[in-house]
Amino acid sequence: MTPLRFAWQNVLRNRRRSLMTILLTALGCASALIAGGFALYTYESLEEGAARESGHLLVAHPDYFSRDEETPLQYGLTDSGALVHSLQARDEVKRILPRLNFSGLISNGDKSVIFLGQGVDLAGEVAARGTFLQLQAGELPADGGTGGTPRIVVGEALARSLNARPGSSLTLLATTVHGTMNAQDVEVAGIVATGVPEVDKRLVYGPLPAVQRLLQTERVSTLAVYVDDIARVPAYLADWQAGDPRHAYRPWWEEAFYYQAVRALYNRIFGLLGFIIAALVFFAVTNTLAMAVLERTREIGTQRALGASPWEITAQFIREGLMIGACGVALGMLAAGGITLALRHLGLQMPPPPGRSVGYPLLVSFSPSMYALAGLALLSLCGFAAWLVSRKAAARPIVEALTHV
Amino acid sequence: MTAALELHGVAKRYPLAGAKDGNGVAALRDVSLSLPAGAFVAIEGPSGSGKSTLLHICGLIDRFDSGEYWLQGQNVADLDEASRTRLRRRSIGFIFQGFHLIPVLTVAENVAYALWLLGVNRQASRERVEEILEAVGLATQANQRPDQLSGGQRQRAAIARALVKGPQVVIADEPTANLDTATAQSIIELMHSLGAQSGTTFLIATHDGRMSARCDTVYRLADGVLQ
Repeated sequence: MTPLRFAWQNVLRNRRRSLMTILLTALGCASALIAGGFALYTYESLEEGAARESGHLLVAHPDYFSRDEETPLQYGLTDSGALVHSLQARDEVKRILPRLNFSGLISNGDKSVIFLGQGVDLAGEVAARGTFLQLQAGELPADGGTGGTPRIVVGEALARSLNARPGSSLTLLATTVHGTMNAQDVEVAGIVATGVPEVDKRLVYGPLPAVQRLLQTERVSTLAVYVDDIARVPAYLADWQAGDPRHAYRPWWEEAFYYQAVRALYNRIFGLLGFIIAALVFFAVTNTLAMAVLERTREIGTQRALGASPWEITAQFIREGLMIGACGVALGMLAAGGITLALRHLGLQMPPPPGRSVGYPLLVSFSPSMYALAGLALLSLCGFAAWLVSRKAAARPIVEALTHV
Repeated sequence: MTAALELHGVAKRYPLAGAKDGNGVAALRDVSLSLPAGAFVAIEGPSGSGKSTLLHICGLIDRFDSGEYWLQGQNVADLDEASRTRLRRRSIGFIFQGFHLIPVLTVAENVAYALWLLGVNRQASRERVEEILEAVGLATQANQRPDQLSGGQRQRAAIARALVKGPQVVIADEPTANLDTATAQSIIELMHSLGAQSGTTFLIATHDGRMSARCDTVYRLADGVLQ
């Protein structure tokens, strides 16, 4: 006889009850893993999207992130060329994209609306950020119209508002760094959607040199730096900031407000879900083992009379709780793994989240550490439940236990 | 002969619900008893006379209010629960009226349980279990579950479990009460012969005259007083 075999025999004593508890534990485990996997997939997607959008690290004037500008580019980078040169000398740097944030009015001659724009190297942005813009019409200009009329891309809703199509001529009106107004005729090269309707109403991407001419400056707002390994951003941040106190360095996550908000929301939602699942499993195991303890009170008395200590009795029930938990966790993990694989092949789509116009794939990430953590948590819960229900019975006076009916 | 078990002036009262200190039902009054090693002793008495209480105290599964109890030369009155458990595990075997075998274990496993608690290794345990099951006539039922056995076989298994660890004292509470006459007779003979072979002290509470007739000494308990 071994303690484990004894525990297994006891688990099998009331098969239907044990099976129900195992199935409930499996359901809880699978639910937790799928919910956790979905949250993980969402975090990973948003993390990647946010890091690509902002750049792994942003470099700016020391006051850029902490103070509001009173005039355009008041805290812009004046030495971006030298800075780009020094950053490019680092092996870990893969790409540097200067960006100039500006705003003003955009007009088709009949109607003027407010825009929020960015002067960028659009080809570089596409190369670094992938398909961050969904082209609705026209093209994404590679050169931005060097030498001729600057070619820009505008948001879908903005284009609709201005009745603009690829090839349409528009005029950008903005305040220069000297505080005067300046205008620039541009040609619409492409119409894009970001997936956020509110952004698409105001969006303008223009070639950086043309925007600098419009604002009459050589400055840029920030440099977006892309590095070889996103996981090493914290190390690079500390290193670069220490070596260059004249500029402010900011990691991607401090700019990823949507990612932070979603993560905070999901953490609360899935945290609550996890708590409910844990409570369900705990009560199921507690109920099953409490019944077993009650039914076996005389047996506990016999074992105590034969010389088993209260702890040995409790340990026996803990082994039984752990076995039920282990079976449930194993089944739950198999189910969660199967569903994770199935979702990869089914290609299901989630509806667009609030404030967005594009849905996203319903996928669940597989994380060995999450599986291990969930398994460990549920097993601990089962062990704790077993300890809780058996400790009093194990310490009950032996004579009283032996005469229990 | 060295006493295996000695009681001096042992008294035990069960409190009544709501009763003040000192009130209650006296289960044992000034009980003194000395059992030499290897003795085969019966305690007789009507229901409620205190037989079970005396056995429980001797088996270290209940405590007494006053007096002294010496087990193998050791005063056990003041032992803490852990020490009593260790002493019970090593030195005391139990045979119950209702057998009290663990239903999910086979006969061999039930018997081995007592050795498992003592930490006896698997090989030694297997050999000892085979030996004792042979002695009680259950060698061929070793792998059967208790519910596959007759009442007499179950009690034999319980006797094997009580004796397998070679205890100094075996406490038997009405071991033949649930058995038919022929089976009871065989159980009495089995206990007597195994007791004689092993030198184990048997303290048996019984109503069965045949059992008493086979004992070296018969005490009578009435209203908690040993006569």
